[in-house]
Amino acid sequence: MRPRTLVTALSASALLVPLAACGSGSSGGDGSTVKVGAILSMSGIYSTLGAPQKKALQMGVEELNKQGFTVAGKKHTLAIEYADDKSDAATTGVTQLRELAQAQKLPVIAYGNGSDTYVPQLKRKPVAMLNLIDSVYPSILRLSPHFWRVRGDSPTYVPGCLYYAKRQLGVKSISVITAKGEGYGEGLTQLVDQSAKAEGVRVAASSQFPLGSTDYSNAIRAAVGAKPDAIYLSSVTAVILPVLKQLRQSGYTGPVIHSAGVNPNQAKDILGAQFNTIMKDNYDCAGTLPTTSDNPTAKAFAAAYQARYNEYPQDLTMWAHDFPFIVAAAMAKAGTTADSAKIEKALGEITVPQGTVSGWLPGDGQRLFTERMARTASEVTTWCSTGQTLASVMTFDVKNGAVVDPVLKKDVCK
Amino acid sequence: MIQVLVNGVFLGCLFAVVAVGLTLVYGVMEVPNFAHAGVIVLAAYTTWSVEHAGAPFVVAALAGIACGGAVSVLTEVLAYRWIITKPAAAPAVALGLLLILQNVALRLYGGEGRSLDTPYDTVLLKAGGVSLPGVKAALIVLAVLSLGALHLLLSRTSLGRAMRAVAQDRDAAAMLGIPMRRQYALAFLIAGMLGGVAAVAYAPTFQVSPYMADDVLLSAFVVVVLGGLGSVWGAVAGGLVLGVVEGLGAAYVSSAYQSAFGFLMLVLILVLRPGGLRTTDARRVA
Repeated sequence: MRPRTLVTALSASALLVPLAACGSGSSGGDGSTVKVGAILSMSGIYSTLGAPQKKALQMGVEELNKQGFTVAGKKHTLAIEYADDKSDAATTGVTQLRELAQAQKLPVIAYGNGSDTYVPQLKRKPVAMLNLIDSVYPSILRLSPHFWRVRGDSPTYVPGCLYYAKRQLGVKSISVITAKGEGYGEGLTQLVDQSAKAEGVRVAASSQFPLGSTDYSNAIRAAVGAKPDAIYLSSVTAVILPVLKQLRQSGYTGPVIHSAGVNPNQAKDILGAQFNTIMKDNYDCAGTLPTTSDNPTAKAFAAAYQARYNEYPQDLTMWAHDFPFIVAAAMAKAGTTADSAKIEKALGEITVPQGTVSGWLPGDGQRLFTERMARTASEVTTWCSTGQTLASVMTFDVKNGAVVDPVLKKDVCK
Repeated sequence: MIQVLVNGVFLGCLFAVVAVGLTLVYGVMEVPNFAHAGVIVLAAYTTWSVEHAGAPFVVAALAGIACGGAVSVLTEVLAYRWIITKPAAAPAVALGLLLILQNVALRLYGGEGRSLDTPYDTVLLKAGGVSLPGVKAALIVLAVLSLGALHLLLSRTSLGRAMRAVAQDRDAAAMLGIPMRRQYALAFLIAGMLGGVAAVAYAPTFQVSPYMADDVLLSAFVVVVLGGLGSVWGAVAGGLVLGVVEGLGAAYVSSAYQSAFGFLMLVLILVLRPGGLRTTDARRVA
């Protein structure tokens, strides 16, 4: 072989070897490490969600890989290819999805925000996408048959707000303040209206403020002016905490209810030195938190997360932790680590996987997913001023829009 | 009704302080300074950082205002100065600067909101059925003081007269020996310090975050156009009018469309008085 030909052949081999390795690794079919994807908001305005999701996913992967998992007789470990949507799902997120699903051919992808922006890409290249946080109403599941949700949606917890408010706080009328143009908040308000009607609680006033505004005094004035027994704030944590601050600054001292999943760290950061006073008489109804859950495995996870990262674990952390176990169970059931369609079909058939910590409530046939939604129990938490933290005052389930199996707890702040 | 007007005055004062900074820069340099929102953000974070380090609020606030001035001057020295003969490039440069400043804040402090605590956080003023939180009252006081000081500077000092001369006719001012670069830097310094005042005054009612000033900046630009481009007192009047109109619209139509009332009024003013509330044939800063 002439030297020039040899150099050409070696160069071609040098190019092809990593490409081949990349191809087999990313498709997850090499019999050892299976790779799946996760598109998270690890920087930007939603990094408050993406960063803890990644931490919990890493804990879940480490836990799963201690034993590994078996697919078609072969032992595997799991690895996650993380992609940052930079809090901009519509542009960066879609590019990342194209890269993970189309270029790297990863069979399953976890994600946080931006469901609607991913739909066109999913039509071009279907792949199972498991959402770790978005509980918006109406559900994201209606957007694509490839979306799955690893958490309950808003209708599984909002009825608990009104149920608890009426029976335990004596609330007969409620005012609602909504962030106009923010999907989660607008969905919550619809559900609060429905639940209030079902519970016989009067909606005294329903005011809104434009999303992005910095002064809420007009919406607050309308809500407080109706003299309600309680006020419900409809939106996400970053939006409702400034509203709550201005609400208290305006002199309102009554109960405040929301479904934002505010944790003590966020309360302290956003509300400042007065956070303990502002959070007084505050009630949050959402999915169970790992810290307040009755489930011992969830509590153990919460302790491990706090010890490792020195931060309060949000509810989304336990769902993220369980993602690797769910993927492994689906792959084992499907008998493949690469065929997304088969894995997606298997997702609908698996039972609650061993090793998960969230305390999943199985559906018919003990299946984890019911109509592509897995869910945990819901709860109402209250703020305990003495401990400057949250405590669960009621756990419950919701069926057909009504609260079932409520478990009330007393003296939770002692 | 009085409560609505009080809220409107609060909003108007906030808009006015931000808008005067914008109109000052526009009057002198003809730059639509979108980066002003980034200046406000960095001033707020500086105040938060200094306070967080244990300094009293007043010291932290002064540091924030100084930071606002310094960052604003930097934007002029490093960017705007180089495109003064290319006014068409100004909007793109301004938007680029805004992105840079916001991302500096994002990089340094993350996306989470932060609280700016003040000694008057828990104060609530009440009189005849009207209430006003201490943080909002403080904003009104700060706005009046800073705009009053600006008025004195522009009308009673040689620096102010020189700035007005530059705003009215740059070429003539240069021929008269007025140092132009110093005037540009001075306009940005004052605008930045006003941005710092806005940050220190309204962050305690809201939160400190990289995007905290976006909405306010938009309203402030409405005010600048309402008041007449380059007119300081037009901006003050426009700010108060916008605040009250938004408040009345929110109270009697819908609070969901609070910002929309401002834009509706802008369209009306532009149709009826295309030059703004204070029409002028020349650019001016007073």
